[in-house]
Amino acid sequence: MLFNSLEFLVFFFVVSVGYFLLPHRGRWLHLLLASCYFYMAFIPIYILILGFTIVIDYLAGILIERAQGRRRRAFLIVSLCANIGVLAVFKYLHFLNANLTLLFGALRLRYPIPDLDIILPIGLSFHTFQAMSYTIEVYRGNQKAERNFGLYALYVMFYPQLVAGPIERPQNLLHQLREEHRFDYDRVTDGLKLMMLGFFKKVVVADRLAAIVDAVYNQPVGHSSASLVVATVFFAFQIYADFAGYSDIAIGAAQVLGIRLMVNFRQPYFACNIAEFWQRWHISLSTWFRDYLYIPLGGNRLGPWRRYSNLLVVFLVSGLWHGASWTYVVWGGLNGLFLVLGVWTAGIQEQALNAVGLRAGGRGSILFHRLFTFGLACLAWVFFRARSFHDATWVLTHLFSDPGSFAHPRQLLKPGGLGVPAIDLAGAALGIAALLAIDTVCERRDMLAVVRRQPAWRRWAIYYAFGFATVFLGRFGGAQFIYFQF
Amino acid sequence: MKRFALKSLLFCFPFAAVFGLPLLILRRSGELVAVNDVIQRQMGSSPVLYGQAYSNPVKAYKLRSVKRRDSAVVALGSSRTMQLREGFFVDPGQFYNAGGAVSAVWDFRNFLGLIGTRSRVKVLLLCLDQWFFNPARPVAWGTGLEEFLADDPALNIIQRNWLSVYRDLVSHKIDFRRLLIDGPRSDVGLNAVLHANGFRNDGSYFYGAAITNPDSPENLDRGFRDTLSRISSGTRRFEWSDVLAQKAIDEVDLLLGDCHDRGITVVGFLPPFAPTVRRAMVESGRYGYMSRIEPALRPSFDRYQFPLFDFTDPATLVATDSEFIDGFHGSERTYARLLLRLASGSPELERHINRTRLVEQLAHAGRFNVEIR
Repeated sequence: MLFNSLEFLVFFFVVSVGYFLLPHRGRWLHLLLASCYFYMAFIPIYILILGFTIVIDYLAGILIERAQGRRRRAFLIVSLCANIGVLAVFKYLHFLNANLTLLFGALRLRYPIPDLDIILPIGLSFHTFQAMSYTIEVYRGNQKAERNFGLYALYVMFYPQLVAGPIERPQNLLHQLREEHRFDYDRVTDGLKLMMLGFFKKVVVADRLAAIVDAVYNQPVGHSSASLVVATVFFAFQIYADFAGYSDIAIGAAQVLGIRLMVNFRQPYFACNIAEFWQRWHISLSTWFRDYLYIPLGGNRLGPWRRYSNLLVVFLVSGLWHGASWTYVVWGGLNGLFLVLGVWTAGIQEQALNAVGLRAGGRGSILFHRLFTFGLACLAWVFFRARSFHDATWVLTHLFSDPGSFAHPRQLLKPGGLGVPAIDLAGAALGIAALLAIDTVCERRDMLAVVRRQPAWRRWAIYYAFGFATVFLGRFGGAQFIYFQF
Repeated sequence: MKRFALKSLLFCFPFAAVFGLPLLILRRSGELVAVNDVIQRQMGSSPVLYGQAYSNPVKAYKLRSVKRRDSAVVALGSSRTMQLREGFFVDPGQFYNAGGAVSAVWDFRNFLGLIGTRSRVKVLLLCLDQWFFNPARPVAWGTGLEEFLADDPALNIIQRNWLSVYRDLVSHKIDFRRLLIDGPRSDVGLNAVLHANGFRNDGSYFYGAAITNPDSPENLDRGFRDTLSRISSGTRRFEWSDVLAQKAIDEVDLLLGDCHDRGITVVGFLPPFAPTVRRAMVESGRYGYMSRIEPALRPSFDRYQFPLFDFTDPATLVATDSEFIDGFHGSERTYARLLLRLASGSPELERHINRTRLVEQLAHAGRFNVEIR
């Protein structure tokens, strides 16, 4: 059941109304059943996989809390192995097999392990990471083991964030699931407004951009440099609108029920360097890697070179987390490399900007840094979006190989260009403008608070503008959220 | 809570005012039923006619049906395949008509690729529309794969068609009373509910209005007027050409190779035109490519020892104008005879049909339809 479907709207309405009508003691069960239904709407049988990790981690949590010394560590390792094992089988086995088959073939050997013909369970990487954060936090003593199996299951399965995050921590979510949340007008309406904003980002901005990006990236050979650049920039906004839209819907839907999920995006394309970009992009995953991988690896405590290697490791793993393909690994590696180079050359950058008269912290300097960071992010996105390593390198080597194509923007509308009518191109550009306008407001203030302070007529005009824009300009082609596949 | 409910209603009111009635009509008529649900219903024992008016997910519907049913005999092609019925076969459950899934020659291999290598298809009745081999046909090579995979979600259908629903209501194309007041029905889609047009459980197509009242002014191809105008203007699949699209011939060769490798027996045929239409095409002298198709395809079929039949000339089936639904769609009566001919050239197919019963059914057939008992 996709968020951008009629089924979800009905589901959300029924679940939310039922939630507030039920007495507090029955609400967790109601949400758990609703979450099971939500998950089973994709591939029902896969709930068994989820059930397997839930049982293992639930027991592991209790056993870790009770045990001492090495046994504690052993239970943690069992839990982590179970979670990573599920990920390995369902997400990485095919990738591993494909690569080992090539390697064995090069050595003239026969690779013996057969491939499994399985579909990746939806959101597997998300709920696996959320489950792992629970056992790690119990191990670290930051979270008490949850005795109520149903509540723990709900922690993993809470439907708004089950398939694409935000990846929550037990300290933030578990207690909220236990607490009673009364109907609060402001909270509920703020949640609904956030959801409406999320729908707008997804169906009006992301899905409109997707049509253009797909036209180019599904068959990049033959497209002009200008088309490749436009498609790459559009993809940067598509994936942002898509994932931030999903996050807004998830956070809003949870907020309606009285549960606050962590913020997942803070205007990432306003970042002035790649380090800052990752503090603003997919925050729940970045902080997960920071807390459970980067810091345990030594973080920045062991000198600069170790810090750089730790950063690279984290980003390579992050790339692999996104998908079992070399393109994702390269995407992660490039981000790590950009980040390391950014940290390494920070002083030189400032000196260079001063030399051309751009004062550090001044508007010109900020604009330059933002554009430069956006450019770097776009370069990395090429690997994220391309269907193969070959396509990605083709796009990168042809981005500026045909400078003449930039002088004739009308060519974008012709064969070899973007292959879409001018009206679609204008709609996509307007969507990006709307997204940036929203982010500009959010960068300075709490947007919902700004809306709340407006006179009633203006507030309602804004609601209707978003509502009608979504209904009339949105694309409801059933496009999945990009991050669902992870 | 009361304040919230009131404001929510106020907010929803304009949306409800615009979309409420179309939503009601689309929902009541079954236009919003998802393809998978239709397939589920059609796999049951009771007949369900599936004919949507506002969306056309035929490719996805046929592909998923074939995958779900896993039949041994599958008819694959365009709408000109859709008159073959499961009742023509010994074991009706072993046949499925995937007619409508193919709109160009490359769709065949796309379709076979998507049903997967584990499929139990043993015999493929391949309907090769003549215009698949016409280089003058304005179709971009290789397009359309996404139609097999795409869903047409309810929100999309509502957004795309709400205005059309109002238009059709005003022009009385939608019988509001019949749709909303009459009791529940099993058929799915406005075309099926109001006009009895749609796909049967076995994937064959039932032309309701066109065969119950063929002389109605609403029948656009009455007296083959529409088809003949296509011929005189050289448009809409009747583009003029003397040369053959060699690429399409090569594509069929690849298809036959794939089928051979997968152990699928192919029985190919070029479907018939109505005699009047065929005569008009020949007299125009502008369809030279049609006579070149069979000789060009023959070597590939022979290489894999698959039979190929050319029914372009309806005389080969002893078909008359009166049994054609329109200029290029034969009726079930025509296709029952066609199947008998196909089976005579393929022992593999012959095993799946009951010749005696089919001959008897033909003897009792109406002008268009064969009664299945």
